[in-house]
Amino acid sequence: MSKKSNVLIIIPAYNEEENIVRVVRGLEETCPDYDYVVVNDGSSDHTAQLCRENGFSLLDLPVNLGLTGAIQAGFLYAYQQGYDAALQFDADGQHLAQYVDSLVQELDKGLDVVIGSRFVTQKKNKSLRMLGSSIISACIFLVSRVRIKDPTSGMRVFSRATIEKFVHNFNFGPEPDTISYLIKTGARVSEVQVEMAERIAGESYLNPWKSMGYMLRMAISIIFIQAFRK
Amino acid sequence: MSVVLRIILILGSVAFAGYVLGKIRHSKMRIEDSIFWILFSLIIFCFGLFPGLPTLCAELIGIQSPVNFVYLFILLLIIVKCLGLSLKLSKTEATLFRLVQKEAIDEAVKEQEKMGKEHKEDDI
Repeated sequence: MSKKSNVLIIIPAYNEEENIVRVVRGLEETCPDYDYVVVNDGSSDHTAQLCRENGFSLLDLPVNLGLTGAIQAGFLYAYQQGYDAALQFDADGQHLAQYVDSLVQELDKGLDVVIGSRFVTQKKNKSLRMLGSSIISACIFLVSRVRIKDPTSGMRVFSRATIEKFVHNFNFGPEPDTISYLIKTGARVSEVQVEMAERIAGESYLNPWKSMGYMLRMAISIIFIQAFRK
Repeated sequence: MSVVLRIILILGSVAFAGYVLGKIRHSKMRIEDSIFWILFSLIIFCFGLFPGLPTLCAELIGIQSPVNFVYLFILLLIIVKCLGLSLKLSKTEATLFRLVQKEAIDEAVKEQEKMGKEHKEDDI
């Protein structure tokens, strides 16, 4: 595989046979200048098979590792192949390819992490989910004095220096607590306004209970645990 | 609860939390796995600091002595954690099995392909 760009788009996919082809085709059309790799996270459906049939660039994990493991595989690949930046892009169609460029351009200004945020210029609607997002924002502000308006957005681009941290260190997950830790240790993080689509097919793995557990974990991690890390 | 027991609970939970945080600091434990233990020591700490808490809980479920409630509570949490670990171990073993099997099969397929090629060369 030859490199077209200095940026690698990483698409972690777990059981996304209904979305993966449409999402990757859309990405190829809208962002033809970027390299991408689908990381199939040990799906039990036909995700990997569809990727092979369509000739998509693919990392096929033989067992399910979860999002952290899948993203880390993508980062390791990006790091070893010498990419300068890596962008995390959902396989379920929520992230829109037309915003990839603006995120990368922002990163090129010398930042370490750029988050595709739904709420830079637009207000959050009042739902339970957004309450959770606000609480995580508040936790991050409490420990780092930086306001991240959309900490749970999964559309983020990372500089090579940051990728290196993800590759070499333990406890770097693609989650808000890592963002908080990065800010505290001097990383420059910014947000760019994006829109996101509703999920078209398949099911989100987040139900209210899981969301609450996630929230609690993030809050404890950001406030109590990150302070003690080196 | 006696003052001595309360002091033991408070000091014990602080030392415990310190140990867990030290493990995270030196990258020996995943944050996800540590959350349980941090919450655990936080609760024990609260029991030591506010003895009214275990007293109230003990009264609610009809246990005479609050200290018995503290023991029961710790025991229950440990059983839950133990079960969770057992489940996780099963999953880890299943994953390991699959990886080892895949590795062996991939190796065998590679060898067969190599042999196939050599045979073809012999034919020519």
